[in-house]
Amino acid sequence: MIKKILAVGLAISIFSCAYLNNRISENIKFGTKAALINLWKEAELRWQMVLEEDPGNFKALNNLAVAYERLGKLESAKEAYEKALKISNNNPSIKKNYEDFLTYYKKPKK
Amino acid sequence: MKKINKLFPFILILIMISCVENTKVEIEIPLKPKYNIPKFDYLWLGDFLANETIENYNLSEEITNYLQNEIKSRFSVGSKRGEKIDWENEKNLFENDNFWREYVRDKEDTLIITGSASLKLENRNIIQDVSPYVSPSVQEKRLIPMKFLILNLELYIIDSKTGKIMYKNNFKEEKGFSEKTENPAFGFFDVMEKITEKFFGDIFEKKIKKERILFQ
Repeated sequence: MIKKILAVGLAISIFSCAYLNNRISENIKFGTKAALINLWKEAELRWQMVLEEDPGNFKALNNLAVAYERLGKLESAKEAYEKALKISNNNPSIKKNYEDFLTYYKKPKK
Repeated sequence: MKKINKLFPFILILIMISCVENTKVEIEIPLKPKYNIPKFDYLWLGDFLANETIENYNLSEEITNYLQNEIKSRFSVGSKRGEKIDWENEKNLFENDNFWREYVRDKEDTLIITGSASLKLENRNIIQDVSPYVSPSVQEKRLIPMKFLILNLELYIIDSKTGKIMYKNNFKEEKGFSEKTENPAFGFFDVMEKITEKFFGDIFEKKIKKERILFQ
């Protein structure tokens, strides 16, 4: 009996995890599609939704940093890039984006 | 079977590469101006005080013409020309709020650009390596006499409603010519170009293009 309950519980958790991962992946893709047709606000929203469910998702963090840059929110872009780099253990694509970002980014005067 | 085992790492790499779903996208990034100038619809190009200029050269007129053309061609703000100012009879004019409040007729969201300038020619000797084609055996340097056109421009932005200075910056640029050049005043546009790039960067938003990688 216990074995059956455990098996059902395991199955439910696997399915719910797969469902969540699928939703996250869909939102990342949707955001990227929106960005490619210049709908950056929509893209920003999608990637923020991903991060609400999965705060450590470095793909969404990188994409969100790009959206922030495009929308002129440079402080937020810097923060998101740095978090994405840390979580992804210096993913080369994120590193490339971040290094190019630093070529023009200047700290705001206090 | 052995062949498959040998191919396995390559197949694995291929699968890994095909799984990395990146997209390159070109974005335009809006950069805020260096100085926080409030919203304006018009730039009123005031007269410039010419402290020093070269022979037969109307410095104030040339600066105003140049700035007006640049603003017209690059930005979506209107520009008007101000009247000539009698600089000799007015002291510390840039600080005189009353004068600037009276200077502009239409005061709706208008900013005045004015300033003082000096344009001069200077003779200098510069050190240059002797071309190896001229003297292949000797590594030597020589002094070359040159003329330099130097523009020193102090630019002010004044609020037409209050007459107060909102922005003040000093720019200095120069251009060198061969000593034989007869009319170095042609270099004026080069030095103005360098100055206006910095000045517009101070007061207007600009956009830069960059390529970024997005994950899917």
